[in-house]
Amino acid sequence: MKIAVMSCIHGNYEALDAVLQDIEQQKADKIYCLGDLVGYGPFPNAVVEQIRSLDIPTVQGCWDEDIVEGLNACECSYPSLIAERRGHLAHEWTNQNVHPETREYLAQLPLTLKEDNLCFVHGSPHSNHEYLLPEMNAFAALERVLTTETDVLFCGHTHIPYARLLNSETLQVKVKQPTEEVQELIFSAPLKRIINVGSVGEPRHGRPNATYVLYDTDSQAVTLREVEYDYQKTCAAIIEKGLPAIFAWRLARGLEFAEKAEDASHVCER
Amino acid sequence: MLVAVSGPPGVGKTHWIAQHLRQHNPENARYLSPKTETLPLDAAWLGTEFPSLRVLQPGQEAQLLDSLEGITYLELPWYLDLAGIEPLLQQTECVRVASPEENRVAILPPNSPETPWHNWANQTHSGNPLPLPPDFHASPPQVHRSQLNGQVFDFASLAVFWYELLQGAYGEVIRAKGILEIASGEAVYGDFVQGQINEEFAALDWPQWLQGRPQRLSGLEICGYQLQREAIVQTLDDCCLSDEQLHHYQQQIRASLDLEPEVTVV
Repeated sequence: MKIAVMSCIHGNYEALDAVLQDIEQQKADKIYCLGDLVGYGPFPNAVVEQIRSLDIPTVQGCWDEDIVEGLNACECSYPSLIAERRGHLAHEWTNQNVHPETREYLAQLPLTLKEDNLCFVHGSPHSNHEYLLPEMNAFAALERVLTTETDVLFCGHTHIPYARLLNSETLQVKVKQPTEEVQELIFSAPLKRIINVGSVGEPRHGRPNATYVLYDTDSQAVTLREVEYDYQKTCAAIIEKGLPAIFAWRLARGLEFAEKAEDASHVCER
Repeated sequence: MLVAVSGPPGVGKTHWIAQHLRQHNPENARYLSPKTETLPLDAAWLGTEFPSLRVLQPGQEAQLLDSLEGITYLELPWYLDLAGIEPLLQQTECVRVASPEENRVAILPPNSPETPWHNWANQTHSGNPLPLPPDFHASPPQVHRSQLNGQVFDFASLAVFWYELLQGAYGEVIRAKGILEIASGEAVYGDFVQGQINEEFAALDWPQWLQGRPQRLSGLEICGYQLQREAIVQTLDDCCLSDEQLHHYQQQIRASLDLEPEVTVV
């Protein structure tokens, strides 16, 4: 079966529409979405409506959660003061503009979806605020996949796509307790994968194009798709709807708007 | 001797003076840049690089006639009317210059078309290869100055703003320079010229300011076209620390530096 996995649409309807068309051309059997349907972009309601109408299995992203439960990102989630201020502006605008039914839909989204040996999350299995960056320590990365009890972990949140193979490894641990001898424990971890699907609506790879991933469950082949779309329409709408003009400037250059955790192991405590 | 230096923005006038100072190492050197009183960034930078240089403030032009000793550098900003400065030049030249034909220096981009500086100068030097538009004098660029005394930047935010500024998010920037205070207590110098690879900040050799808001020169001067002044001001403001944040940082840094007063036991 060929599945398409996308994430981080961020209210960018033009990008979503282009990706859905591309998925149709690629003849994917099923689509999954890893959340962050809203935030920063000018069309949060249209994006949610489209995802709902197509009945796409979707997990809740950190932006979706914040729109439901109120701004929840602790300040260490932002790399800078300016990113935090821009993030708050985007949150405020989105919060004022989402329809009640959009908020209701976002509220009922699960944090994790599982299908056979595949797991779908927004950030990590521990938190939709955690960033699984490609350079994350292999032991920590493996731990994240093992907790899901599946073999392939799909995530988004960082807005930069990658596929990481965690080779089958032997882990050796020494445990020393006060009253006992040192114990040596050996574990064998099977082959695992982390697949970050990038971002549909707010890429950070230096180009405005949307990205998503095709995954063949039989061959396990991963195909990263980069889809061009009329990003100028989204840029014009950002300005027209009163969002900060700098969002449009950054979107046009594939620079994202704000968030990127400096510390890959950071988990929001709030 | 008096050396008057002029040329377009970002061509390297201050750099030329710095090189001249290094090469000649004059014992008694003075510097003045007229019409820069709102933000004398070049004067502050030169004064830091050359602690023995006596920096005169704009408005102290009369002092140029006081002493015949040493060398005086007069850096004339590009926006200064050359005819307007002529009386001062002639007065000082009459007083002190043995060979006045050699003391008007224009720094110009290589292969520069004919400009008013060519007529004014009696020696020209090649500076940075700026893309100087042919109608530069007819349609001069805009200048935006932000006085930022007392403002302290979150450095990561400043880096974001600086990147956006240089990449054209707030208009076409041909020259940007600034002295900016950051949360570590340091002051950094930003120096950008279009077409050059100089996008990093350099720490100035100034004492760390770790108690309250810095009481020293800080500001940003941007030269370019279609500058979005309001957005620039707003973004700069978004990059600055509140009193509470500044206090928090300064406390942490003081603690890490262990700045308790030293007790000397006699």
